[in-house]
Amino acid sequence: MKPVPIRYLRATTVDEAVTALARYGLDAKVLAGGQSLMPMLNMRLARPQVVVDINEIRDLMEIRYDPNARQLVVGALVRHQQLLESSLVHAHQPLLSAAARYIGHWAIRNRGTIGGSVVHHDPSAEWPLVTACLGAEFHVQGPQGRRVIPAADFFVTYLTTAVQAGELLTAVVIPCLGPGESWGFQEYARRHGDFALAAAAVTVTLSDGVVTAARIAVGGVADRPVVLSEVTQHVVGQAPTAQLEVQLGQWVYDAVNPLAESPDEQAYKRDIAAVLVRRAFRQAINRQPAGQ
Amino acid sequence: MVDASNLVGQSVRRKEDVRLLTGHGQFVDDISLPGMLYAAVLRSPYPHARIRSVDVSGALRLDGVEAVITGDDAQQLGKPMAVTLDLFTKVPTIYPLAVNKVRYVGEPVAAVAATSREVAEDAVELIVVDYEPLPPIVSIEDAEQPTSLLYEEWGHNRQLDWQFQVGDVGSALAGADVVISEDFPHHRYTGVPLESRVCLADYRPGQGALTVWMSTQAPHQCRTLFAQSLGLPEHQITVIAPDVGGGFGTKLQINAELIPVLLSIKSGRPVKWTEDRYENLVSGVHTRDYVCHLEVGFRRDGTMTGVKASLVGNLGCDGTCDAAGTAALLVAAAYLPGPYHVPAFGVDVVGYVTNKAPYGAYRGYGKDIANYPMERLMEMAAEKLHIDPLELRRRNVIQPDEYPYQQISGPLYDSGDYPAMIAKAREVLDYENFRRQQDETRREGKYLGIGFAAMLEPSGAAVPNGIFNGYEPATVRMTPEGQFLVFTGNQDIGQGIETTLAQVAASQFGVSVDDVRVVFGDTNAVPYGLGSFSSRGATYAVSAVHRASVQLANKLKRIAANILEASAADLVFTQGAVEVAGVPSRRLTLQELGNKVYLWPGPYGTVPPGDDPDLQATETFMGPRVRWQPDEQGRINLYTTHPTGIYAAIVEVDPELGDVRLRRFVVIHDAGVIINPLIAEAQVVGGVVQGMGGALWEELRYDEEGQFLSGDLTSYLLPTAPEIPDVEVYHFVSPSPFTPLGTKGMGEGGTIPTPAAILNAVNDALRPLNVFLNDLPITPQKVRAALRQAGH
Ligand SMILES: Cc1cc2nc3c(=O)[nH]c(=O)nc-3n(C[C@H](O)[C@H](O)[C@H](O)COP(=O)(O)OP(=O)(O)OC[C@H]3O[C@@H](n4cnc5c(N)ncnc54)[C@H](O)[C@@H]3O)c2cc1C
Repeated sequence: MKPVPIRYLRATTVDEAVTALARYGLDAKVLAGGQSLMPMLNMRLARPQVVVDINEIRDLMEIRYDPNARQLVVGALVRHQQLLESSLVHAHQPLLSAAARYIGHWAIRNRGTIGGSVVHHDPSAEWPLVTACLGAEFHVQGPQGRRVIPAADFFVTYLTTAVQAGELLTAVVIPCLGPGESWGFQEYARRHGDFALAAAAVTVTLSDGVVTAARIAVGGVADRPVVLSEVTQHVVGQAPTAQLEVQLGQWVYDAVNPLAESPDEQAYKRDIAAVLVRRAFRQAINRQPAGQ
Repeated sequence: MVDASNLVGQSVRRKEDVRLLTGHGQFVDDISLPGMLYAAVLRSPYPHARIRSVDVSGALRLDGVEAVITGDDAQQLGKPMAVTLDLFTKVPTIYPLAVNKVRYVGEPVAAVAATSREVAEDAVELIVVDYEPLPPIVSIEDAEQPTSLLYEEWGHNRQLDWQFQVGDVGSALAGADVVISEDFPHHRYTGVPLESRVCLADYRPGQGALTVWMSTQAPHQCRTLFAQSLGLPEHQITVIAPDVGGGFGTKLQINAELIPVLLSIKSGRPVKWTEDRYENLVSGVHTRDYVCHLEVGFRRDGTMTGVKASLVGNLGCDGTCDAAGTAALLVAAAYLPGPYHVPAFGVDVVGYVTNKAPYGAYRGYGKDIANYPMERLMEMAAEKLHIDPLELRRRNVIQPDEYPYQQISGPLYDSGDYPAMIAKAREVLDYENFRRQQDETRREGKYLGIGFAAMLEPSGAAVPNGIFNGYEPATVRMTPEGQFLVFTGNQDIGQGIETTLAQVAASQFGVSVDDVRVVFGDTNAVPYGLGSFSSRGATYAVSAVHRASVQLANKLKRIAANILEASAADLVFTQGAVEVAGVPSRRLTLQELGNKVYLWPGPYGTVPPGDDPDLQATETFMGPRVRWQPDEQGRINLYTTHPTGIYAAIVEVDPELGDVRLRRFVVIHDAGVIINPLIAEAQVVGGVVQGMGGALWEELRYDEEGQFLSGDLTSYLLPTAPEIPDVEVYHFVSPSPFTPLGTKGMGEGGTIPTPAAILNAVNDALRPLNVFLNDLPITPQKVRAALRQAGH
């Protein structure tokens, strides 16, 4: 388990990185936390000629709160553990730190980055699910300049995103929790720290005892995170009763069409997608400030 | 200072841990030699294929490549792989690199030695093999149809075929009130040592001498197997096993290590091969993988009338040369009656070869196979007979006053007290209360279950015809400065023998464990012993060390008596000295004694007539009741000691997710006299965790085409700390009458009954939902599938 011969380059600015990436195109790979790339290199599943190490680019390491747009601007190199611990995150979008807890183990969270996770795009991973659920935007810089990709267009299929060869993801911009909005996150994995068998992220806004807005997304059931907008529409306008929860489970069950190796696995993923959404929804409702 | 005479039974801190925990251990991979090359192996992508040609020219042209070998070289430089163990088996003619044919995905086809592992792996990619795929034999059903044969010359795929019967089982079952019968399939899984196999081979053409550093459990047998597999004179071979990072049974063969050895012979340079995790999972030994059809007759009162079994094992490509696993099925057959009174018994065993990785040893070695079907069936019988599962076992177990107990199938059990352990389990579990709680929580939609398994752990195998034949020498020596060396063929593989053997020796000399060094793992230094497997340490090695220590202690007393002008019978060892009991002024420190014998003045006159100055003793322990000559019923006895136990698992099942959580795990355990409770408990807990792994997570999967699906640790799921509850261990002590200290080996007990206890608990939890699971590992998907089928 040793990689093929590789040239190692280290960039200290975004421009340097983009220049190197543009020059080598498909033959180059960005090295962020290395928690997905290094195993792929060692198993010779990835065989780039060049890796461009971005770990010294200071501009990519910060979490910023933009109070006007009510957004968190998360640099591509921000580590999972940083998001888990950040007081800005706790204050403005706690769903992120709740989800971060489920990523691997501490050592992995200390190295792995949000940028690496979304560009790597394992459809069972937490960041693709959460960013898709919240409708995040992805800032990318390439030889042609900068562009912003909405979440709906970002995740293409397994291990593939809209980021092109030669481009660098610089930041993920994530909307903050709105007034009256609460959240739920549920994941089920075989062992602590494993990639999810399935996971659900939910946000709910209540007003006068009625759901006025919601976001529902499921991970681990398709080739990318699935945002269940139609299910959401059924929920909006309803009171969050036990009966609604049961219906919600059924709607989710009907809406997802999991990709699987066997009919058993497919049925299983359906079952648990419904259960996890239901439980995440309950969590969100329970988190509503009293009186809502 | 601890009272040295009582060191046996004390939780002495492990001597080896300072070295191991501060990063000062020395494993094979830490050793480098000048001019050393690195090996990489080309492995078969096909489960079954003919090899038309192998072209290594591209690899040879690559800079840094010093040698490339294929099956042709294996034939020219060596011989067919030697037999590890052959009991009623067919032995194939095979080589460490495939000749003509590949028989499993991952089988070595060619190997490269180069100046770095990177270059060696680059070179492996340049080797071109032309394969002609053959129909794969994956399942037992495939193997039964001889349309495709692994070894054409056999004419079939059966490596093992054996029947045995005592008493009239047919009538015993016919006369029963209730007969429970079921097929119990068990999946393939194995031990995953932190340190994979690593080997550094140094062949010196000038001397014709071969030195092999390797991570093994049995250095001496490896030396012999190398000699036989290479046609080299054995006295020219040295095998050294330094620190070994876990074995669990998986390091008892040389099939992989022959590859760097052949590369060293071919290149004339030292060659190191460090197995990576994929290689370990795809070609390291695999185990379990069987179906046992079991039928047990019961009277209405729950007592057994007879046991009939048919055991069919899927042995992968081989279990006699490539590894040493085949005999596990025979051990299973001998121990199927377990701890129960069984009036009539019949078993037939078949082992099929298939296109999967070699069949080897892993914690249990068939005792787990004996346990799993029986302990699953006991719980089914309890339900059918409306008898509590603990009570059903109580009515059938051997009583404490019946030992030594001649089991119907051959084994002679040494000691134990199952009824007391069952009572203890009830108390510890607060059993009646638990049942009440279970009913209440079910009403809240929470599914708790409890499952049991009785445990019997034959320890210290003495199997004829091979490397597990069961004896152990030890030499104990005093230095002129008055410290002690224990030379043992037992191997430290992390289980703590550097401490336990030191405790045993130190107890005889009134010294601390720090005054005793245990020397192991070097065939030039220690007597030909058999290493570490089959929980044999506390049966064989401990007994040999104890007896050699006693013998040396007597000699030291005779010499000291001569010097002190006292009677040897009046002397005692205490605090690093030997003295006349009750007269502390008449004493010699051991340093003074050693000095006097060896230096000042030296031996003449110091040593009494009839003795000599060689301050060492060697004793060899043989199982006193091992019997290889069959009795009139055809029965033999292979094991000397038998730890016993009652295990209980409490689980909580989330029926919506199919999730199984281990809530409690209780072990009532009896391994006779315990030398070091700390180490003993760690052995139990570690074993339990591996059993939990097999029950819930670990599986070596192949698809129907024979492709291997578990080649990394994201697909082969090992349990990690958050999944494992505290394992509660309670010790009983029934000393073994067959060992001098009453000790019993105890490395495997934790693993043996754990899968049955857990699946029993899951079925108990889901009983109100009419679900019966019979398949391991218990994955959430399987739990949900069963529930869905039952309409939930
Ligand atoms: C044992 C283990 C368990 C894990 N468990 C989980 C888990 O439960 N959930 C989970 O989500 N993840 C898990 N991971 C993966 C982990 O989160 C990785 O950190 C993450 O997938 C990749 O992030 P990275 O920073 O390590 O990226 P790298 O491995 O460095 O890179 C990953 C890919 O992204 C590309 N890339 C990285 N950064 C950029 C960028 N800024 N612009 C463009 N391309 C970029 C790289 O070229 C590469 O193709 C686990 C990993 C391990 C080893």
